[in-house]
Amino acid sequence: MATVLLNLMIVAILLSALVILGTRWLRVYIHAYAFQSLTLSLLTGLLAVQTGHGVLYAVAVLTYLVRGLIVPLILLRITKGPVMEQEMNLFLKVPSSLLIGISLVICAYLVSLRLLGRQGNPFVIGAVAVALALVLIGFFVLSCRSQAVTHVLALLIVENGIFLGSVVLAPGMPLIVELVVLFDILVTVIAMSVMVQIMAIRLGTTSAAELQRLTG
Amino acid sequence: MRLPDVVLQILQVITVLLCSPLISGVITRLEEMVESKRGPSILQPYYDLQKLFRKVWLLPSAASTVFLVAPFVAFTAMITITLLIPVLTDFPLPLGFMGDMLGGAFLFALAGFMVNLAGMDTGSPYGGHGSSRTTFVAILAEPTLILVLIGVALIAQSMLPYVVNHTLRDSLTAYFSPAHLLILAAFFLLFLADTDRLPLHSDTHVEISMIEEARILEYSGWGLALLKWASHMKQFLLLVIFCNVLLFPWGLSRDGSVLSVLGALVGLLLKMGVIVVVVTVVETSIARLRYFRYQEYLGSSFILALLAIIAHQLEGGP
Repeated sequence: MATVLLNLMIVAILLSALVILGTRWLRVYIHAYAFQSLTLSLLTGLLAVQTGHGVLYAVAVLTYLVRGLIVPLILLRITKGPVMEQEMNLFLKVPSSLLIGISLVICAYLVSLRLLGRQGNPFVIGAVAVALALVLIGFFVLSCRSQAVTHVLALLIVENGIFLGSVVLAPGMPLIVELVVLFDILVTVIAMSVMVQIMAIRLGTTSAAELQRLTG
Repeated sequence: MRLPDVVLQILQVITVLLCSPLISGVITRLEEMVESKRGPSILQPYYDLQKLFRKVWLLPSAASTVFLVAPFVAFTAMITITLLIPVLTDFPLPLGFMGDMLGGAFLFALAGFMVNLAGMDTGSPYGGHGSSRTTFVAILAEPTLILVLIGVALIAQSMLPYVVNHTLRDSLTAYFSPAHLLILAAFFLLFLADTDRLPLHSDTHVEISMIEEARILEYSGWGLALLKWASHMKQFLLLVIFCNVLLFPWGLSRDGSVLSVLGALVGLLLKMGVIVVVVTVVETSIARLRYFRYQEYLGSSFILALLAIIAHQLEGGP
């Protein structure tokens, strides 16, 4: 039963990353990210029960608080402005970006299969594949979408992928590492949100596509 | 007491014939009620059919044999599909091995193809319009259907609907596997597209926005009745496949006795009731998509089906 749950969570995490490719509403992105973080923390909790590492419980709670609550709330506050309702000009339309996203997932699966060998624990292979897929999808979103808020979310998804990989592959990580990462996230998000506000005030847009020249 | 297989097989067809208009009626009524109107009686589709069957079938002067044959092909195709899928019993009936799920998909496609031809046959602009739009949607929906079938075949190691039903019924692990849940989602999106519902098509009777309905504008009398009945049956059969094979594989008659068959019938209608409520909620809460954004909708159902197969691989499936 535990394996079934774990598998379900992993696919839910993957699905919520693909949501960003499938829609253009910023609010939906943020909710998808919050859902992904929630699932991630539940997964960590379940792994804590399974492996018996006490640290993982603390990591699960911290993950939920920072990634699942604080960061989405900050991002939702930024998108309150009138400028940022949705991605306006997509470089790639929704169906093609979904297809590219799916091929990235397949690619990640093949790589993880090679890395861990066919004999490995199927759950670990799957989880590492999803972790790699999150990293790839995050970078893909970074390069094909133009809104600054989307860029922040893409970075956060990359980070979620790395976190997933670390939880599955090295569950006994010291708590201090996780704390450092979480503070990094907070600082990044706050810095980016300040930047987004400044862009909105000075340029009247938050789309990176509008930034065309460097000025001193 | 076990009913003979032949009787069960006939009962299956009768169930589909008699109950299919009911589901359409219930959906229409519920939607009207959500919009705070009273709405027509849930028996309205039966009244419509009865009225149309009493009327003369007028043939347009430009009509050829295709126009004449199409309603019969569509109607018989639906009845043939009924023989292939578990409607009441969960043990295979003698004709159940005539074809697997792919065979059923072919029959649905055959019916659609004939009606498409009939739409273009008389040369009326709306018919051709409807046929071309239906084909456009079908082209986008077909890859999803194929992938859903492949996904099901991977889970159950078989394409026979009875085997799939048994696999999902007997193993909770298979039922709650991500692959299966994603297939459910993909199939539901496909169901909405195939039965001409939102977000692709709204119920307004304006020719310019019609998709499937526009093909049969030239039909009248009992020819139209046959086609309408066939489309009710198509919706009912898709629901049967969705409920009995994929979503609720439990509650079918195991021993074929009179009581258990009755129970299965009531159960089937209840299961469909659940889906009908969901469909009502979906149809009354979303807006219709722009024609050139259909591909986004059908593309996401394709992605879900593809993810189901990937998820099956991630779980370490063969």
